[in-house]
Amino acid sequence: MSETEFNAILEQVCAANYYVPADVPEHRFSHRHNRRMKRIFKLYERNVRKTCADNRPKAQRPKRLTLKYAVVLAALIFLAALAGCTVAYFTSQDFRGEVHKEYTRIFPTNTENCPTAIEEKYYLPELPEGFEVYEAEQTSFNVYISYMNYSNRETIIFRQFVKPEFPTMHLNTEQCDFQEVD
Amino acid sequence: MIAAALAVLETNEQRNELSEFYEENKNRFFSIAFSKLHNREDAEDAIQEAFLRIVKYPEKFFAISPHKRQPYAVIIIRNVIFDMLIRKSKHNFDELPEELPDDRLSVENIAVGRISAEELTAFLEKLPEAKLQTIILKTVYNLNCREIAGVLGISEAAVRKRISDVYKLINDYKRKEEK
Repeated sequence: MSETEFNAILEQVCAANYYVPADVPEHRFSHRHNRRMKRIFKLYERNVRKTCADNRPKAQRPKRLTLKYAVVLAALIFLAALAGCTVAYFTSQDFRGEVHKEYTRIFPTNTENCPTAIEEKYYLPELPEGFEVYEAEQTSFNVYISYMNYSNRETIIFRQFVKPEFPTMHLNTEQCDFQEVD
Repeated sequence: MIAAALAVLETNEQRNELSEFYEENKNRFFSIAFSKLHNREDAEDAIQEAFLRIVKYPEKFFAISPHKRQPYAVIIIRNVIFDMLIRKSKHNFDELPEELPDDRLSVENIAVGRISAEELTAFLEKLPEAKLQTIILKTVYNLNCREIAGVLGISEAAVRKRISDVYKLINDYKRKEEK
């Protein structure tokens, strides 16, 4: 006798001994019993969740679950695109930057063998009409001058750094262009 | 969070299947329990205990094809009833062996090959119910010893002893028949 035959006989014996026909009287279960059965189903749900988390390999995930994940991911990407969460990057010989929707971050690059103190100071050769010096500060590695047009409160800021001391800057570029000049 | 939400959706479907199974069969289960225990509260307690044992291994329950689930639940309920009756009579029938039998014994390792289907059926009908339940859970429902111990409320060692005893009894039965 093979194991298959042995199992088949056991199945028949099981069905003969442990099958209960449907024609049994109906019983009215107590509230206490119904409450406890609800708790048992909740425990069952917890066990299933635990078993699913432990055992399910990704390759065997049902197709409808994969489809659900794909739909949710697509929705998230679409929402992110709507929110305008995009970042552009640029690099030049001396700087790299992150261009966001409302500002631009500037980082210096190639800072080896750079002077640590300002050797020559630079100034704007010409100013637009109506602009005058508003503020001025300077250190050995940093020069700051701001010019203001008092009639319309517009300002021009001129800053000079040595590269090793150049701070990471967040520049407001929401409604204006940003240009690198050699 | 999404994975948890999707997992809940799936478990809700499975939970509905278990509660539907219970609703379809609860009167059958009650009739079995009441016929042995003769007490409504005890019969309801037996059903609760049986389902507690079923939900210990939810993946096993759902691996069983639907037409085989009722006998599976009945085996567990009858075992719970047996335990309750033993507790009431204060007898202990479980004896742990000194050496644990090998649970890797299979039909091919034993001389079951020479027994016929009719002889085996006759033998199984005379087998004590505790041993019959154990061998059915192992071969028909593919539970391992730990799972059988969990649903029957006995130790793993007792499970292995019962399985080993069944195969030895089959061999002894065959030898007796040949004489």
